[in-house]
Order: sequence, then C-alpha cells, then structure tokens
Amino acid sequence: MLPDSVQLLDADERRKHATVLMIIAAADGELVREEIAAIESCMGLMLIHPSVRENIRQCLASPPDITDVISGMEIATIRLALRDGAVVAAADGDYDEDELDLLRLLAKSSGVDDDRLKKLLDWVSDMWHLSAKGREIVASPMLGDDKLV
Amino acid sequence: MLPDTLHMLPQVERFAYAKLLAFMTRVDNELTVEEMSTFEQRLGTALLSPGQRKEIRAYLKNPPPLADCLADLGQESGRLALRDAVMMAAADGNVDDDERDVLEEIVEHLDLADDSIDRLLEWTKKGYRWMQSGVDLLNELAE
Repeated sequence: MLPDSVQLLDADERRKHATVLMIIAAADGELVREEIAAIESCMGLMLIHPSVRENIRQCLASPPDITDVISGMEIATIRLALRDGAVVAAADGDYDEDELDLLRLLAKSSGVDDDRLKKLLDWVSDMWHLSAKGREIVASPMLGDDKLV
Repeated sequence: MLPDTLHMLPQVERFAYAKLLAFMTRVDNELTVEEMSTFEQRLGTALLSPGQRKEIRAYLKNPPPLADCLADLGQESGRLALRDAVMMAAADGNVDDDERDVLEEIVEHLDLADDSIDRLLEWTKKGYRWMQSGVDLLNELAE
C-alpha cells in the first residue's frame, strides 16, 4: 500500500475508521488471517498509536453497532472507511452478504449511490490484479494468482 | 491491504523481512511520514506481534548492518523484502542513489535478474496510479 490521505485524519477519526473495518471483518461471523492482516495493515498505514490499536482489536470480540460509530464520523472519513472496508471485505476472497449490507450502509450514509459503489468494488478488483502482478515479479505466488496475472 | 504471501512465512523470516525494511527507511538519513506509514503498513501485513513490532521500531533509531538483515532472510522472504524495499524507497517520490545501491546489494545477495529493480519500480508506479485512481474516485463521490 502506498501513502494515503487517511494519514491526514485526526486521531479520533482514524480510530473510528479502523473500528468500522473491524466491524466489517467480523460481519460474516468468521475471522480469517487475511482479514486480520488487512486491518493490521490499515492501522499501520494510518499510524495509529500501538495502545490505541490494542483497544481497537478488542472490537473483534464484541463489535460495537456500526450506526453508533459512524454517527460521529465526518462524511469524508466514512467514504474512506467505505473504500478500505471494501478491501477488508474482499480479503477472504469474496463478499459476504452481511459485509455487503455494511458497505451499502456506509455508502448510503456518505451519499454514495449504487453506481459509485460498484466502481469502488471494481477498483478493489483491480488491486487484486496489481498485487498478483507484484507477487509474480518476485516469484511468491498465491493460490489463484495465475487467473489474475 | 489485500492478502499477500507475507503472512504465510515463518515468523523468523517475517521478522528478518521487517528488519530489512527498517534498515531501508534510514538509508537516506531521512524518515518521512510516507516512509514511516508504508513501513508500519508492512509490519501490519506481516502480522508481527506487538512485542516484535516494538523491537523492530527500535531498529529505526539504530539500524542493524545490511549484512545482518540479509543473513536472516530466506529466498522467498528476501524477494518479498526486495519488492517492499523498492516500494518503500519510492514512497517519498524519489529513489536516491544510496537507496538504489542498497537495492542492488539485495538483488546481488539473492542472485536475482539484473532488471529486477526496474521491473519492481515500474510495478510500484502502477501502484501509485492505482492508488491515485482510488483518491480520484473518492473525490468524485464528494462532487
């Protein structure tokens, strides 16, 4: 992942953003290593303080209600959470219906229509291809990469 | 942020991978927010424990010698470290001569093709463009 505007958010907005990602990851009732890696990666990218990360990780055990979390968020932050939530939701290889419901809720709450949401999901799909290309260059393939490169 | 092969590697190799990236951040004697952010992002992807991350962060202040970093790397973790070292070197928008020299040393240590760095830099540029397209998309949403 490359430098991003999430680093410009204030500390509380970054905490809420990461909490939303936790809720999305927990949505399908299963938490796979890939989803955890995606969230840890995002918390690192946002330069969230290690002690705050520990608090955020607790949300995995008992996720808060997403409407409570986003009610206090800036619209721009909800959109960033929507973008990164789409990545987290895709991390285990597929979008679960519960995950999609949460993404739709984030989209609705931030004024994003269905067409734009689809564009966002296509953008995530492009990332899969790009990541697979990077792994191909360094000969570290993942299962399924041959269909993406 | 999408799944990578990195988290599947043995812990000792993930640690060695992160150690090399810590070295890489200090090559040009500057640590920008972009580099720090990319570094922390990769630590997260590597799924190192909080304790190990603390240990690795200490290397940002006192980087280990490059030879020490390379010694602990396996072939696959070495190649992944090279890929992400290229990405990190380019994170501030420029790969300077010192960074290029270190990347060349890694390539030599791993006995990789001469054009490895250029191919990875090209891939990194595509990543920047992809990332920018995500930002553009968000900006469109705001219109």
